[in-house]
Amino acid sequence: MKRINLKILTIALAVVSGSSLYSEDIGKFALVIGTVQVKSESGSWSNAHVGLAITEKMQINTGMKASAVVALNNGTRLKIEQATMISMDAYKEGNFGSAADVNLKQGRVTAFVNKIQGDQANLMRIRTPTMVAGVRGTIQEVSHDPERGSEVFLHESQAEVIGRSGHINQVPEKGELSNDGRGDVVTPEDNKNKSESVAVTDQSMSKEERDVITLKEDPMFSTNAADVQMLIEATEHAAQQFGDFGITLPGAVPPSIQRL
Amino acid sequence: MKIMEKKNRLKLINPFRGFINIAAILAVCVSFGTLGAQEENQPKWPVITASNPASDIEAVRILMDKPVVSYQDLADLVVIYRGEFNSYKSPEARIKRTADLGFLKFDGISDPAHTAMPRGKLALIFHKMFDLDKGLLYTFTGVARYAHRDMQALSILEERFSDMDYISGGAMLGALEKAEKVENEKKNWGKPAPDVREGLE
Repeated sequence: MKRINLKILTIALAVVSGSSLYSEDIGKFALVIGTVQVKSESGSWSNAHVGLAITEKMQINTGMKASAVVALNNGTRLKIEQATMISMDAYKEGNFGSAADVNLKQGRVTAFVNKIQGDQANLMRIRTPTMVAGVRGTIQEVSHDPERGSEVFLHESQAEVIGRSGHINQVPEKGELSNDGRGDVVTPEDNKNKSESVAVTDQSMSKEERDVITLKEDPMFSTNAADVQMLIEATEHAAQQFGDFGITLPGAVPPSIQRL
Repeated sequence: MKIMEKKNRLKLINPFRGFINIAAILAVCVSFGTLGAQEENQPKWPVITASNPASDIEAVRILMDKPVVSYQDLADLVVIYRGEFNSYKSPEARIKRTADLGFLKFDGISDPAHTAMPRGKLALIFHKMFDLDKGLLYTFTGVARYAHRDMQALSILEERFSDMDYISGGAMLGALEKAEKVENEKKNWGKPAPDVREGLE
């Protein structure tokens, strides 16, 4: 009897420890051209192949004249161009839909995000060292190199780009937005909405403040519906504050008109 | 007359005046010498670390993190871009290959792995690697300065730097990608743009 109990205990322990070590697959490689390597959170670099499972925190690196297409579980596809380094920082699925966070260190990625279905949303962010680009139901190209900074090109639909100080910029369809290495958002000459460009660098801000505003622990990846509601309310509150200072956000109604 | 008398008196009073002057001069020389020695001990900017990657993708990863690239890195990039890394495994072979291709002369560079490469040389290489529009001055002279101006005009290299400035590994990779893009645009001028949905759906 004691032996049987010991066996059950051993199996139970193995299952528990196994489940804690097990990292869930969030997608797989749909296409690999040339040399593409991956590195898990606690591993070394190894070659990628079609069908290889992708896990959270995995780093993907493409070589020269190489590219790869990654298919995430929510139907989102990421095309990773040559000499690019990305990491799949976060991926969550819940009642709200799904949310993915990709960190682009260098190179170029094109994201094709499935459109919103019913109440559910497919949220995706591509984060570069100088900005965060939100992709929702669009085809969007994001690139970054340390000298030129970050560039966003919208092939379809439109997107919001948040600078390091939290200012939001709308990028129209076929529009382009660049964000240089110093953190200033500038639209190129061919961007129709030049007046929407704003400077986002605020040297007085500490790193912690920036993290709070743009990066760390934001409710975007929460599976709780209340957090998503809080995010919406916070955005509306920010728009109202802009209105108080006489700054009109695209689509927002100036307070003077509201009073009338 | 009185002044002369005063001077003569002072000479008598201070017989070590000449020695004091010599000592002062010596002290100044010694202090300068010490400062010079201190400067020699400090590392000279920029500090470039040499690397010998085992594969082309590893070389790309190393390049991404390099704050300043060397002549060796440039030769590596040329060989990697041509897909010949496995044929030229040693750094010396890659330097020789780049020189043999006629892309760059490495004369006078004794230690290419530790010698910082100016942007003008990268511009020269881009003119050799890609079919890009050449300016009149570069066509006549073929010098790095005007090659660099051409790259700036084509938005391949940033305008805020000169041809003698150095470049980081990440910026060099970004510039290479941009040069390739500009060449493709030139080649495919007038043709319909490739479908972005290709391979994504």
